[in-house]
Amino acid sequence: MIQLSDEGVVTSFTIVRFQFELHPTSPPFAYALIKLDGADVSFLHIIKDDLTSLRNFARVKAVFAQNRVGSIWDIECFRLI
Amino acid sequence: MEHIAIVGLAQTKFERRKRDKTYYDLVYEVAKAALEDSGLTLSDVDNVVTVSNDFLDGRTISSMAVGEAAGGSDKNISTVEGDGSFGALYGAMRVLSGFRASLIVVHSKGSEGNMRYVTNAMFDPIYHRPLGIESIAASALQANAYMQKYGLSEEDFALISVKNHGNALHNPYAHLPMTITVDEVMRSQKLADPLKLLDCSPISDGAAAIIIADKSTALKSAKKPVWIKGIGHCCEDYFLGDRDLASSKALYAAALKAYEMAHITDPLKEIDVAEVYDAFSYMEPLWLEGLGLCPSGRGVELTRRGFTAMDGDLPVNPSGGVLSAHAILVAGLVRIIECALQLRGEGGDRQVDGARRALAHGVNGPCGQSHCVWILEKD
Repeated sequence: MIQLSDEGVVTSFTIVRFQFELHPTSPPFAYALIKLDGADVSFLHIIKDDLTSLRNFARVKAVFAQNRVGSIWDIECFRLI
Repeated sequence: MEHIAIVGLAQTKFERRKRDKTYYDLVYEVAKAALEDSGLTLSDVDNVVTVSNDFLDGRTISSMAVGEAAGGSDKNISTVEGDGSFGALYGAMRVLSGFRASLIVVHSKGSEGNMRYVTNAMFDPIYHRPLGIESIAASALQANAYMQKYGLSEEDFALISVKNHGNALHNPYAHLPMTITVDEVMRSQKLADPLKLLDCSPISDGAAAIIIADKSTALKSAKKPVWIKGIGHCCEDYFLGDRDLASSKALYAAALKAYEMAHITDPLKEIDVAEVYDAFSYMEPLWLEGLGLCPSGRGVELTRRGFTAMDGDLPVNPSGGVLSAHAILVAGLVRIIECALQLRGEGGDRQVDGARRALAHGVNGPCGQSHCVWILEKD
C-alpha cells in the first residue's frame, strides 16, 4: 500500500459547457486528470472553482466531504492551490 | 496468411433517425444486399457474426433479436459486442479456421436511446462513472493532452472537420455532408473545451454488412475479391489516467502487426487510401501518428499540407469519415467497406484514382482504448 498525497498536478483537463443529467454540478465545471504526489498515474475528478485560472500542470488539492461513505464523492472536488 | 477476401458488402444511408426501420429491418436489408453484391447465396455462407450492444439496443443479449434477419437461423452464429472492425476480425478468423464464408452484420440506432447515458455506462462504476463523464468530456481530456504535448491548436483540429465534412459531399451514404470553414467550426457551440459541436461526430442510425470468404469461394463471387493482406489489433489500459492519451501505443502495435503481415515497410508510400475512425476531429491526426504515417505530433501537418486531401498523396477519409456519419459499432465496418469500394473502383464521386492498397481502422473503448487495423489489396 502506498499512501498518496491529497495534492497533485493537473495532467489534462476540460471545461464542460453542456448540460447532462448525470453531471455532478451545473456547467461550467472541469474534469481533470490529476497526478497525485507519489502516484505514477493520474486520477479523474472535478474542479468547480477558479476555472479561468485552470491550466495544465496547475497544482490542486482535494476537498473532502464532511460525511464520507466510501465513494468517489468522499472527495467533493479539487481546488487550485 | 492464407488468401481470404471481402466478396460482398453493403451499407445503409446514415441519418439521424430511421423512424420506419427496426434493428431487424436494418440487419435484413444489409445482409440481403451484401449477399446480392457477392453473387453468392445464403447456402454459401456457413457462419454469421452479428455485432450489437445491449445498452444501445435496450435489451439484454441483443444479438438474439437479429440473428435470423442476418440469415443465421440454421447456421453457426456468434456475436461481437464492440466495433464492427472487431466483428470483421472475428469473421476473418472463422474463415482462417476452416469456414468457407462469414457474413458479418452490424447495426445501431443511436436515435433510440440517450448516447450520453450509454457512453457514461462504458466507464467503471467505482471511480469514473459516478462522476458523470461520458464520451465527449473524456475525448476532450484526450484532445487537451494531445494539444498540450505537441503545441497544437483548436484551429488545427477544425481543419480536419472542414476536410472530412467536405469529402462527405461526394458520399451518398453520409449523414452530414457540409461545406464549412475553419471559422464556422471555431464558432460552433462549445461542448467541452477544446471540443465544439463541429469537432464531434453526429449520432447516426444505420447498418452495414460484409462477407469474408476463403479463396475458392472468393473466386466464384460476382465481384473481384478484395484481398485481406494484414490485420493487427491491440488494446491498452482501461482507466484514462493510466494511459498517455496523447500517443496511442496500442494503435502503433496494431499497425506494426498489420504492416508486417502485409509486407509493408514504408506505409506512407505503399498505402494509397486510408479510412480511419475520426469520431472527433483531433482523432484523425492522432491516429495517423499512431499508424506510423508521420512522427508524433505531426499528424495535423499532413492535412495542413494537403497530403490527406482527395488530391493528396494519401487521401484520408474520402467518405467523410466518422465525423460525417457515426452509427456506433457500424462505423468501423464502414471504414473497411469504404476501402473495399475504393479498391473495386466503385467509389463513385469519392473514388481515389488508381487505389491498389488501402488501410482501414476501427476503434473500441473510450479515447481509442483498442484498435483494429486492416490492410486490403486488389489483384
